[in-house]
Formats: sequence, C-alpha cells, structure tokens
Amino acid sequence: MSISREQAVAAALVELADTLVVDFDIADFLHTLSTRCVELLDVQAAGVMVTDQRGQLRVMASSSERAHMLELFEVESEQGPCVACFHSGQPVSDADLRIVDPRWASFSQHAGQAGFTAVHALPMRLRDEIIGVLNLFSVQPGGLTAADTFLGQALANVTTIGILQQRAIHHGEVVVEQLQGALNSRVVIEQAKGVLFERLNLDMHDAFELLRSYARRTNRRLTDVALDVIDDRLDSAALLPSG
Amino acid sequence: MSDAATTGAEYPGRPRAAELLATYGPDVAAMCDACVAYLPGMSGVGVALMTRLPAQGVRYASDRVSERIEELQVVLGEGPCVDAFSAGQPVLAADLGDGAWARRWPVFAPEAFAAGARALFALPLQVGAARVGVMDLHRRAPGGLVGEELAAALVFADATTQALLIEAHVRDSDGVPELDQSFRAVVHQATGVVKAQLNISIGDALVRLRAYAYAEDRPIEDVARDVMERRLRFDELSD
Repeated sequence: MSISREQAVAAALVELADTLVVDFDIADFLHTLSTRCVELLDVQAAGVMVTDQRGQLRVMASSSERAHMLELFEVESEQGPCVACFHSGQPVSDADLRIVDPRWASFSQHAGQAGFTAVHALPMRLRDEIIGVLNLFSVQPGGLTAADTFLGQALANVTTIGILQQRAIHHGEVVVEQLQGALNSRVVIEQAKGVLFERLNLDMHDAFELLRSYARRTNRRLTDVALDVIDDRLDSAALLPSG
Repeated sequence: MSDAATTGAEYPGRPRAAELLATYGPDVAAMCDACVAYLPGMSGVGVALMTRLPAQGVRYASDRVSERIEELQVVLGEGPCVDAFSAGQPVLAADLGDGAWARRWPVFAPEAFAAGARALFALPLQVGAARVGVMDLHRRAPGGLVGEELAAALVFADATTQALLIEAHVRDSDGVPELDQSFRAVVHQATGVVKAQLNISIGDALVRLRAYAYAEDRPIEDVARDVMERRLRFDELSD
C-alpha cells in the first residue's frame, strides 16, 4: 500500500495541526515533526530547537541521535547555520560543509564527522517573534529544491501554530508558558532516558524509543510516562513489550 | 559556560544563574528580594514549597500582599501557583481584572485582586522531574512580563531552584555543591542514571552529581560524561 507524496504531505499537515486533543504532548509532537521531515523531504535527519527565553536555544527534538549530538554542539558552541537562522529570522543554508565557512568552522567539522554535508535551517516564526528553528541535515551536498524549501517552511509554520493551539489562547503570554513547559518536558525525558540506561542497559536512542512506544501503546503522554519512570511509579522493565 | 556568551554581550545587564548563586548562595530570601529589586515595577515575591499538591508551605514572602497570595493558594487549592505546578509551566496573568482569570480562579482571582495584586506571574521551580516549588511575582499595576524582564525573572527562578535543591538535599558532610547551572542533556541523563544507581529521588540525584563535581573540582558536564560512558558509578563510591 503505497501512498502518493501529496497524500503523505496532506496527512502530515493534518497530523501536525491536530493538537487540540486532551493528551497532546509537545515533546512528542516535535519529535513527530522531525520524523515527518525526514520522510517527506530529501534530507536524512531533522531537528527542532526552540528559544529558552533567556537568550539561548535549546534542542527539543531530533530524528536521530547523530543529529541530536550535532545540534547540541551547535547550541553549546553558539555557532552554525541554525543559530544564525535564529538570530537573523531568515532561512540559512550551508549547501556544502566541506568548503569551510569561517563563521562556523568548528560546526562544519563536527557535521562532517556525523556524516552530514549540507544543512538547512528554517525559522519558526510567530508574528514578529522567532520561537525556534527547524534544522534539516543532508548527507549529500547541495541546496534544497524549491519544493522542499516550501514544504519544509510549511511544516515549520504548522508546527508553530500547533504549539499555540494546544490550549485556548486566552491571553498573550501563552507562547511563553507553552515553550517553558516544553523545555521542561525535554529535561524530564532526558532524565528518564538516564534511568532506563542504568536499569535496562539501553543507549539513548533505544531508551527514547522505548518510552515513546510505551506511551503510544498505552495511549499516554510521553512526558507523563517519563515522569512515572523517574518517580518509580512505573517499573522500567514494565515498559518492555510483552512483559 | 553553557550560558550564552554572545547574548551576554548583547545584554550586558542580564543576570546569570551562576552569578546569582555565587552572590546569594543558598539564601532564598536575599535572592527573592534581589529579584524584586531587579525587575522594574515588581511589587513583591512569594515562594511556595511544593513537591506535590497541595503546597507544603510558604518558604518566603517579601511583603503582606505576597503573604496573602501564598496563603490564599494554600487554603483554596486554586490559583496561578497551583496551575503552574500542575502543568510544569509558567502562568502569566498580566491583569487579574481580566474576566478570563476570574473564570479560571473564581475565588482566588477576586481575593488576590482585593489584596492588592493586579498582575501575577507564577514560575515553576523545577529541573525536569525535580520539582521544588513555585515562585509568585506580583505587581500592583497591570502589565505583562516580557522580553528582558521575562528573561531575568526566569534566570532568578533558575537560581532559586538551585538554592532550594541544595537547601533540601545537602547534608553537612556533602559540603557546598557546584552551583553552576547546566542545561546540557548529558547532565540530565546522568542525573537519571545516578537516581537509578542509588535509588534516590531525582532531586537528590541532581545534588549528588553536583556535589561530586564540586568535590572533585571538575565541570559537572565532565562528570556526567563519565557516568554515561560507564567510567564512573555512584553506587561504587565510598561514603
């Protein structure tokens, strides 16, 4: 059963817009965005960073552990196309990281080690405010096609709207509230991954997948499952499929 | 080090959590007073200790209005502080006179308004699942908390979280833990590992990790990396 690209795009847009549900979880939602980007666009990894409203970007979701490490490096070293995109509010691309751009020489090196040759950063804009960046990583050099750029930006826009739709917007500060909650959710998930690393001997990727698949299977929010693991309300081994 | 160097240059006046902790240490009252003094037009601050609902108590109130706000939330079980704790995210009420807030907190909103609070901002004091309480800032005049002031308030909340964690979890023999704030994923992951190795709460684990880094005079990220690369186990350390 293969579906057309148009159908897949439509399905992704509907999925990302469907945030008015009781069990909406922003951390899970942003992970879905990064996964759909890899499925729909000609890129091999994707990630989402959002502002912590203290002047820093934070990595919120990544489609792969390789991309995650690279994004963490970018945020911590404060250099790279994604950071430049955040500060300028404009899309920033580096179509061939092998030709070192002096603005982010060290990032280029790390990207190369992670196997990426091109990176494209698209702003997540809410009116005149940039709340984050959607990062697309490619193993092949070259720019995004016009169609992919358009779709990538559309996905970023739908996501921005989706974050805000989570609850009825009854006052202007809702963006701050949602983003701060999202940042803390991300920390909760990292802590739970650590617990699973120790208790079940899983690497970070497998620990995340286990949390996520358990949440899916039991129809629960990813963050709530992570909290239960950390607070010992849920035995780590109980997360494993079929007991 | 993980704090923004470049943004620090753009906004030289913005406080940093590590500097606040270096200045005020675990003195929550002094930290809170400094926060009110730093934010223009802010009238007072209260801190409720909460690791679960309802609140366990009022840790600090800078003035009578703050005292009343904290008291109301404890007694009524409703208000921005309760919501901020439940959702794990801030609740920013720029004008309690706005009907939307009265509908959300039918008893609390009019009472807080009558007590003299017009704008109320509840910031959860938490690091992931390690939750220690909520900070309630208020103004006597309506108006939002945005931009640089919001950034500063969040940084003060970060520093207060650390101070409360230390206060709650450090035993004398542990000494003073590393006070720098780190947001790196590896530190959060290692906190979870230490929690599992020692079968302690996540808040205790965070403090143990910091105390170890301090005692060894190493950056907490390095210690966290050792934990994640299985070079260091906290259950094999001698007490």
